[in-house]
Amino acid sequence: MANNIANKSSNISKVQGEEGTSLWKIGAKRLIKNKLAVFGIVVLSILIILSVLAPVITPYDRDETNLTNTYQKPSKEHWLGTDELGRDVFTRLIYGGRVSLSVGLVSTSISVIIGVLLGAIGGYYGKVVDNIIMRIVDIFMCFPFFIMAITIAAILGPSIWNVMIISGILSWPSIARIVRAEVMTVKEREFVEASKALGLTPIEIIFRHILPNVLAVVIVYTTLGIASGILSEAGLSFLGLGVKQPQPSWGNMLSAAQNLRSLRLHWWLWVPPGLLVFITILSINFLGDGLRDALDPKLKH
Amino acid sequence: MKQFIIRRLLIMIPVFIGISMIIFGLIHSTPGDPYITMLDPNITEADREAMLNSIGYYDPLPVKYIKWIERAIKGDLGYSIRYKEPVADVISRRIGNTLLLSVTALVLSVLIAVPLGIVSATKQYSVFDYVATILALIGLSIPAFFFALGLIKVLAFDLGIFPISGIETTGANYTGMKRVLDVLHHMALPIIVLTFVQTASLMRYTRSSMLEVIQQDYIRTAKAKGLSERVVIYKHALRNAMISIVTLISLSLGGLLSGAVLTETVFVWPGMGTLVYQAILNRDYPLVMAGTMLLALCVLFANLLADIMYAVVDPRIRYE
Amino acid sequence: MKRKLFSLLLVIAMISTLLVGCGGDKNATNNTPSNDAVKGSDKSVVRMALWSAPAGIFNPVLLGDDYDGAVAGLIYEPLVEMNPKFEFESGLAEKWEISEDSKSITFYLRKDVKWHDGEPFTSEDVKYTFEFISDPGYAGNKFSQISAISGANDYKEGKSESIKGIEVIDDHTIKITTDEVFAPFLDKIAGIDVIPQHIWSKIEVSKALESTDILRNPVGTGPFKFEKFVPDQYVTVVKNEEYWAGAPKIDSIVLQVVNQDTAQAQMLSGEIDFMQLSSMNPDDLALYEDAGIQIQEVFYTSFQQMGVNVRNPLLADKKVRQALTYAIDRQGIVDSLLHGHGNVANTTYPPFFWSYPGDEAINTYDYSPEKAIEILTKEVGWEYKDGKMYADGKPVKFSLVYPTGNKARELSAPVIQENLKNIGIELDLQIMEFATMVAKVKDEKAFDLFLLGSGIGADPDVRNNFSTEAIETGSNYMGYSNPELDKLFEEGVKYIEIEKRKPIYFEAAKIINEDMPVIFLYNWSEGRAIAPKLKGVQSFAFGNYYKVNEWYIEK
Repeated sequence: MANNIANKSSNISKVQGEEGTSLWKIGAKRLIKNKLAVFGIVVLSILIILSVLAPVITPYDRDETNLTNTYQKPSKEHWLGTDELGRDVFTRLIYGGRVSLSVGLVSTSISVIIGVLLGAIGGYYGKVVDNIIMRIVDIFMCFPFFIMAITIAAILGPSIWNVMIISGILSWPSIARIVRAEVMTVKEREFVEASKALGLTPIEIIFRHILPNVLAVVIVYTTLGIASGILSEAGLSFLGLGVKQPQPSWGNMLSAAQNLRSLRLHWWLWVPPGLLVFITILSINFLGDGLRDALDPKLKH
Repeated sequence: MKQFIIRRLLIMIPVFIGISMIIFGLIHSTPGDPYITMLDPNITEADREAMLNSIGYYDPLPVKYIKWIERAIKGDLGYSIRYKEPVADVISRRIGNTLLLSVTALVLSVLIAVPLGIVSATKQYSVFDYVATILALIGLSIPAFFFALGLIKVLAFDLGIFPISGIETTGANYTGMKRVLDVLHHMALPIIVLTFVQTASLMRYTRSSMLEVIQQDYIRTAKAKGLSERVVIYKHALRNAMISIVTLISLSLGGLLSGAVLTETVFVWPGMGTLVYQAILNRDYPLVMAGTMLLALCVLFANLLADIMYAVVDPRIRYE
Repeated sequence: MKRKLFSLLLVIAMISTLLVGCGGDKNATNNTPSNDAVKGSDKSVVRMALWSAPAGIFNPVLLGDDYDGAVAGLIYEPLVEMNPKFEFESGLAEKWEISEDSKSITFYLRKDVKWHDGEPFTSEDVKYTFEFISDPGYAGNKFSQISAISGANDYKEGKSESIKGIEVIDDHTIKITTDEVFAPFLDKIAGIDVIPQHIWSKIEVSKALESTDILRNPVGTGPFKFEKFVPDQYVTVVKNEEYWAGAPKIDSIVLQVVNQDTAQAQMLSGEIDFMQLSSMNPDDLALYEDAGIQIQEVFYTSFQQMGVNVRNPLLADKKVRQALTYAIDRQGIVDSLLHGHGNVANTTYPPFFWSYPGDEAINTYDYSPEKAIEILTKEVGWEYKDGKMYADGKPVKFSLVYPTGNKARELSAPVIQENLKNIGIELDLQIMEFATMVAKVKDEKAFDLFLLGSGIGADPDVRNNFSTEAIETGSNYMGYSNPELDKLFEEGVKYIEIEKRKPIYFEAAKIINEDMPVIFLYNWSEGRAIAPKLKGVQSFAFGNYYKVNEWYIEK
């Protein structure tokens, strides 16, 4: 009898596993066929490589000021000119990529961790637990993002970490809701029932059987979340509450050039960061779209 | 159904209390006080303390909260520290301006996005679909304030078609139709920005929910039964897709209201966003509290509306 | 379903348009609805830019922000006014006499002045204004400015029915007496705008801030009468035909809220006729010049400083502070961030002010990282090796807090960071929102260095910044104390005559220059952009409205 159960259990996970891998394989194949998604991957890879290798690529120091050499037009020495303190714009741009990309990544990770955990717990246990969690979700969903962000920024002070935290803790409710809904449907499926019957603990069930099944949704959400993280950082920087000088981010480089003088005369200050934010988010959206099409079984043809 | 709505309304009470407590706690733990920025050498520390005392600054946080909620329930939102008039008056002057912007933008974006999304979905992978999708992605990818500044530079500054900021020509004292036209003229740029961003997400959403419905069995059956493509799409598919689209619309109203801070700041639009933002910087606690709560309540009710609409269509939800 | 929904939403939008469309007028407080001065094209209107909306407290002794002040300044007037040469000129007082002992001044008021509502202006109004400020229920911030008047404190504490030092001699003569000689008498006491007794005595002083109706329908004696206030948007004032110095030549002034980032375009397109320029960027100036816009440069008596927390043992030694001053390229900051429109500051008084002792009398701390390192290693005993500075074996590191808001100041922080890096000192930059930053510096004292502007106003008395007493009660956030300086400060306010005060303040300036309780960065000047057609404007550090009644539009 015991043997039998064990057998059954391994069968279940095997079925699971096979289904999983084949799904991923199919997904990967589909993704590669999607031209826009491939474009996204390529652009993002280039941007990531550029920002990681920043110190190797540029001869300038990130914060090196030169007050006798401000507002220089792009030239051989300074590919994208210099800013109001004579710092090299190209250098700050690729260093800024580090900040912007990591703000997007970390803030999304925070919201995904909170959202997936709470969503899964709520969806799995239901009843009182779910009720409490959903009320917390309701509360957080009602917070006006920028106003809460401004308030929290006033308390924590502006810094790259705080921007990540603020953006992370204000945007987890949507992922929690998605995960919860998915978990509730997955929960009803036979293999979960079977695992319960086999005496697996809820935590094991959630981690081993349920989460892998909602992974597709989470991945798609994460990609898009990174995009909105980068945009939020830019918005907060515009209000003077984002990443702080001298540390460059695309957001604060953009907002430093928000006056009409720079818009008119110093295109090299705002076009490059604006373009990079745009291209990055566009690429992330392409990739996210591609992932959704590739991983979402509902859209199978 | 009635029962469901009542239950949802009851659930709102703890949520409401939770929101107010968190917001209250956060606002009152911001460093500084309403008078700290008065660096006037003529104000002594004693003056400052007296002024702080008069607004109950030194009460412990729970006491402050209870005082606030007691009065708020009676409809008294307190006195604005900066404007020296009832908070309700300050807000009532602004809320219309914000609604004017966000509702108009929402209506326009629905008018544009829904038809585009439907056509895009029915002609999936066509040139039209690609162009529309890419335009939508551009709308999603451009920071709103950046787009706004660009528009100001080109349309207002270089070409001089639109005014740069404000809600009306100051000092012109227009009345009647002239005034409406004047306001519309000033609205144009912020509306373009908000509508573009809003249209982008709404269009993508419409497209994907239409796609989802089109691929469902009953639509295929209807097609198989020989109903014309037109009838199937516009009669059956659209009706079902509309449910989730309408839900999204009610949800996005909340986002539009709170996201207006950036647009309002750029265009000096006298709305709620800039009001609350300034109030936070000035530590005008009663004003921040009321403004933020109002925005949160708007979202809360929009969410409720969405829930109810969903439940009307999908009875399973009621018994969840 | 779709069509219904759309039409519903459309109706909502239209209704809200109408609501807003009508709402504005209803809420606006309108003094003279029939007098629509702006509409006709033959009327001359001047539009002035405000960066932020006035709160609507148009009572000059109650208001708390610059934007309300910008409105009140056109409507109300003080007894004596300061002119662009920093001299006192007659305002509501035609002339004044200082008593032998310098403790009292008799003001002879103009006899032809009427309030905007037609009531005559008398000495009772002046007396009432001071009683208003000294009232126990007064919630404004002007009391410390007049507390030197004999008996003002007693009146505030409810010990007397009237202020002893204020004596109405007749309808147009009033004598004000102080207990001690009070040097800034004319500036601080006679510089207060007078409010009408017949209007404000109708309500209790403690209720004044709640009397929105009166606050928003101000009645003054000044060159312009209040007309209309549309909250968050603009304020209109119209000319006072009966102004004692002659009716203004322009018909009305609109003070309107604009976005600082885009205001330039409005200035260039003629939507605005007057605005402050916070930056004297040559590119901007060239642009204005091309458009024929006039620029007036206004020199401020204020300075930007890097305050030093002398409670930190590493910063307690004045040698260290001197070395830091040498290490910062202040001339570079002036040249690039201020585009040369300013000067390096070395003491608390700007070079053009009468209490400045002269360049040769003070140390100018010319930029020299070498000298900084030399002082720190030879005189302080720190150690400099491999490009790093060590104190007692530990690398030297300071935090610098500074607020958002002032562009040049914000940008000077990374420059200072780079400069100190050159002498091996690491600086941790912490920028924060203004209120947060001030709380950190003022209440928590959690900082090593801070950036903040500070000013002397029109009087060299800077006790509030540098006296020992100000550590607790004023803006001496540095915690700096020098008994010798305290003594000089006390001495300085005992004379009204400038010539007697000069040597005292020269000495004080030298001590501050030597001690560097704050590292003085720069004095700056700002511009005023004025439309080509608008003539007669004379802006200076303490006001834009000098002889505003003589402004005119060139046809």
